[in-house]
Amino acid sequence: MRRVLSVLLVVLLTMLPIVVYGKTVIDFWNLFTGPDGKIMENMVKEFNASQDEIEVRMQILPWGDPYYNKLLLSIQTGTPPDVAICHDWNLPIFAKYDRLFPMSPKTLEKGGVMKGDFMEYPLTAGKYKGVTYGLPLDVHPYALYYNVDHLKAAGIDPNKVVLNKDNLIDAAKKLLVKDDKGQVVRWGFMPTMHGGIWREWYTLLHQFGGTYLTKDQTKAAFNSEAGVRALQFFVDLQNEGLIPPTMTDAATPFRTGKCSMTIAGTWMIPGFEEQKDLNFAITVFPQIGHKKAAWSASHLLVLPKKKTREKLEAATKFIEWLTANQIEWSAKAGHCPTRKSVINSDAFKKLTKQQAFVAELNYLVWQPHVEQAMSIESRSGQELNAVYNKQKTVVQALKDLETFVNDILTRPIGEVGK
Amino acid sequence: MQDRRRTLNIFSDRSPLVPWLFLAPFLLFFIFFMVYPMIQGLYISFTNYTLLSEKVSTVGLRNYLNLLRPGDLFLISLGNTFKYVGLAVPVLLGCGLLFAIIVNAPIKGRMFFRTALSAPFVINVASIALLWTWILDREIGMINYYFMKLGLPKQEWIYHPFSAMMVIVMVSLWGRLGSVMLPFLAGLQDIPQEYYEAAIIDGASKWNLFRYITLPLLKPILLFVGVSQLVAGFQIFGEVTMITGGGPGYSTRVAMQHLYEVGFSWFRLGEASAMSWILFLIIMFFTIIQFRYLSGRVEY
Repeated sequence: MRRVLSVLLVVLLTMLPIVVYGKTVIDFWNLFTGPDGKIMENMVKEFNASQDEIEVRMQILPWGDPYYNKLLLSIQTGTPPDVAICHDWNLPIFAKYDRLFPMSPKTLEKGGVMKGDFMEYPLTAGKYKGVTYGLPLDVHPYALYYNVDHLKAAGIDPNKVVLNKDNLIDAAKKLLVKDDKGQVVRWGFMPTMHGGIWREWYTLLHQFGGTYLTKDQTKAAFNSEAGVRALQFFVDLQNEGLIPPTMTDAATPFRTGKCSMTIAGTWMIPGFEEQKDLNFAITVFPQIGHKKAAWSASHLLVLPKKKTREKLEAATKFIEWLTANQIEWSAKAGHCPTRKSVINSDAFKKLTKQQAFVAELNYLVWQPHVEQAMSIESRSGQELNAVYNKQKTVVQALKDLETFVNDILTRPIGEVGK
Repeated sequence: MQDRRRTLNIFSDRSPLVPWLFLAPFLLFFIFFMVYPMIQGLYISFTNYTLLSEKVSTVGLRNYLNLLRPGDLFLISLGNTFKYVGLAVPVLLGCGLLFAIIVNAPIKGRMFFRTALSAPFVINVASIALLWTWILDREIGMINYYFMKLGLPKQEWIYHPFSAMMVIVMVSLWGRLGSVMLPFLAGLQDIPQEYYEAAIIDGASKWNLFRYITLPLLKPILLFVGVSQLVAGFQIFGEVTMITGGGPGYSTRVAMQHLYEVGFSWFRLGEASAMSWILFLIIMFFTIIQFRYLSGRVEY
């Protein structure tokens, strides 16, 4: 009898917090394994302290494939989080197979989400076939990072930098430093952030007026004059000896002053700012073609599908708070905000580095929003890489890539083809 | 009383249940986490199963045939895997045996060399890979830094198709030498000294000692190390993924890496399961061959 009583007591005691609290508990999953995880953790703490109805429990899972597999499995087994982060390029997988609650005006209204406050183009990141499934916590485009001290020393006015092809090439020449044996000790320009040129080429493809897929998204469209010119740009720079002969990551060289200009995303700001003696600034992606364009992705806030809708209201309230407080996310993690009220705030205008990304907001380009996005990105990276490393010609690589893309587009995930 | 003795009898050492009781903890895990998933994987390889929908239908051999599509990376990755195994396994076995013999001999600082040579074995693959990426980087790497100081041209290392593969072989040799050398060392110490003494009296040369005493008596070890390294070689993943990412282009992309990406990044689990079964059959084939040639009794 005594034992039964003590067991009962323990059970009651563990339930006590739930009963007394009376708060709605929201699970929030994300993949911010870098320093941005700490920042998000702080924001969640602030949210929890800001009101006493909702308690958000945050869990960080390893970035990339592990995260998405766990998220899919959790939905499959009926135990997903209430709010999750999803990259825009992976949204089609979740949306097409009905893995998310659509964010209908009615759903958003419940949490008081000010959809009208969001910038128009970033909102398209969260749409699949015209239906909104995600709201952008941020956008994180590519832009040109440059070392201010190097530019000044080379006699280039840092306030009037490289905004077109001639300027860029001229600067790359002036900034290149060789030793007396003719070996490069500092590169003027390295376009190979994260060891690839996929995002850079993708940007130029659009700048030359091309697109990656046809409008109906059933066929590859990049094997065009625009695609060739975009890739040839890098090959030409390489042949002139202005960029490294092989694909090496630009991040550390830029950080340590062995490279003066590079192209990178918003998320590199905190890391570069940490570096002592690195005086850098950011400007928009140089215009090489006849149009403006810049690659971008977005961290979307999505509502994984569950059996009940009872926590949707609390979940949307959290989303509203999080996006309304993007300033902290932007200031510390570097990402570009998506809400007008934040972009126009004085606090944001003080973040000079982030302004370049805002200037790009009207001409960002998303990666193809198809369910084969990951395979397309991976294979594109390899083919472009092969050209950069002189294993393939421009024509051959684009042709091989076209064959692959056209084949994979006929086979949605789960369909094996004939 | 009678009953109790009978139940206790199960635990007497003559009971046929006893060995099974000892094996049970392992067997349970083996069946649930190895055998069952393998069979499930075989089933999935004949279906269009994904994590995305409940609808599953069998598709015959389609997943297997898809791997032969023009330009599919599986065959290329498999080719690279063979290249790696062909290079790395013999080098690894050779170096393992050589170093085992060296540190078995009465040389000065023997304990130091034994520890030093097997130390990398206990480091995690990810750490090993990161370490070497930093050493070998083209722009910021340590080796190229000293090359520049000496007035030598910068080398491409992991950015050239040929040297990239060599780097993978070299790094895995460095990291795995310990796991090969230690069994050989144990095997060498098991060989009775009298055999050598007798042979030396008969006037055998050093080479003959090695050829006719050491090598035959090491056969069981050679089989064990050979098979385990072959299996590990076909499953190389960490070094490649972290050092070259399969590049440049896809010149070091290996089967396991491709399989992982197709299954867990592209969500095509059917195709990935088909690949893993093909890989399984290949490993099985080579293992059987090794058993055939290297097993057989060792006569002391």
